[in-house]
Amino acid sequence: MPLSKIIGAKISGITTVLPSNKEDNLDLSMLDVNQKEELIKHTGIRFRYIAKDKDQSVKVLFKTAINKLLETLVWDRGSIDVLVIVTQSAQSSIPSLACQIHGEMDFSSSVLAYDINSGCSGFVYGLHTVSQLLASLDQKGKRAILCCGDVSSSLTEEGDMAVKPIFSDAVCAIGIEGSNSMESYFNLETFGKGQKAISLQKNGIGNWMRMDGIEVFNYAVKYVPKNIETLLDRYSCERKIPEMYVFHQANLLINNSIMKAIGAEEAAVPNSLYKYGNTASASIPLTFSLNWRHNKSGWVLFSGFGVGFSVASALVRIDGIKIAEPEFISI
Amino acid sequence: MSELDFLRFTAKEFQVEYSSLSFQTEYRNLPSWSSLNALIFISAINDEYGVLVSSTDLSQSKTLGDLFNIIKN
Repeated sequence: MPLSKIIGAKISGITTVLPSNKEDNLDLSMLDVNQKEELIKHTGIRFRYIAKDKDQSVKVLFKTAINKLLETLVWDRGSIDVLVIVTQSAQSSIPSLACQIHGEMDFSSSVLAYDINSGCSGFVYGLHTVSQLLASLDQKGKRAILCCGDVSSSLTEEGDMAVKPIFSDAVCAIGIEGSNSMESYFNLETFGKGQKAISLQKNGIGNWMRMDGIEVFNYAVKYVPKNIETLLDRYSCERKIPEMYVFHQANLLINNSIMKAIGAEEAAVPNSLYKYGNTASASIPLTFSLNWRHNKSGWVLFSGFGVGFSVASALVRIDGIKIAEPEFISI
Repeated sequence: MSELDFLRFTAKEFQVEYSSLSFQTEYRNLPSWSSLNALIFISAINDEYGVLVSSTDLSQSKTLGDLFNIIKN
């Protein structure tokens, strides 16, 4: 897709919800001590949050995050116009998770609700979709809830050491509202020849996520820096220089390579890998919310990449955002 | 990149004696070879030589000599 500019939407708030069950990569029984230390050093990941009950957990996490968002922003449920859920781990995808949540949380019938099937680039895709929708609505006081995240552990085979030590369960709910003057800029790309880098494959009784770490590394290092540089070359100017670069939290090897390739300062590139692992489409809003000061204003570069192979970056102005501390629930 | 440089680089990455490696060495037999170390090695090759070695290239190569030719070409 060509570069795009959207006028009319801003991020107002973010909430994050995770399962309270915490796992430590130092406890992985299939690796020896040296292998575990190497793993943590190079992936950057030590702790992961894993839902014990896989059945309805992603929906429960989303509903908790939505309730917390409405409370944080003091938004009435009846004021919501758009509900978009970005996930790949809905227990049942018919009807869409957005429709299930809409019904169970008593949203108004005037709400547009649907799912986007996307993983690690999903936050930026969702932000683009929701911003477009809000910009197109013919009314004032427009509000949307974008939910991103997965219970990736429901797709993880216990002994798969390429997947299990990396992924962590988490969701975010992002409040987005109409704002006449607020601009955001996007560069969304797809490299479908890389579809096998991360895919769902049948093995025995289950479908499990498989990841070819080398292909993910190659696609990310080859295409993500170019995607970001194209966006910044076109739209970044004196008034729109990002203060923070928030990448999808894949692993430290990939994220450091991207950081070096675009020449970003380490201090401007936060990561949440050690404490939270790779939380799929929740990783960007989670990392951003842990590092952005409440109510601070400025430009931020978001870049998501992964399953697809999909690459999506956004240059966004943040102004007057409310961020809640992550909440952990027993699930 | 010379052949010797590449062997020195590989020895450092896998923490083995330089003298124990040759172009006939089958790198999957190195003691610390694992899927994680494969990724670390590919990342180091990218840092050192600016070349991305694909999974397919890797699966079709056996020896350090094969890998050297992939990087060189």
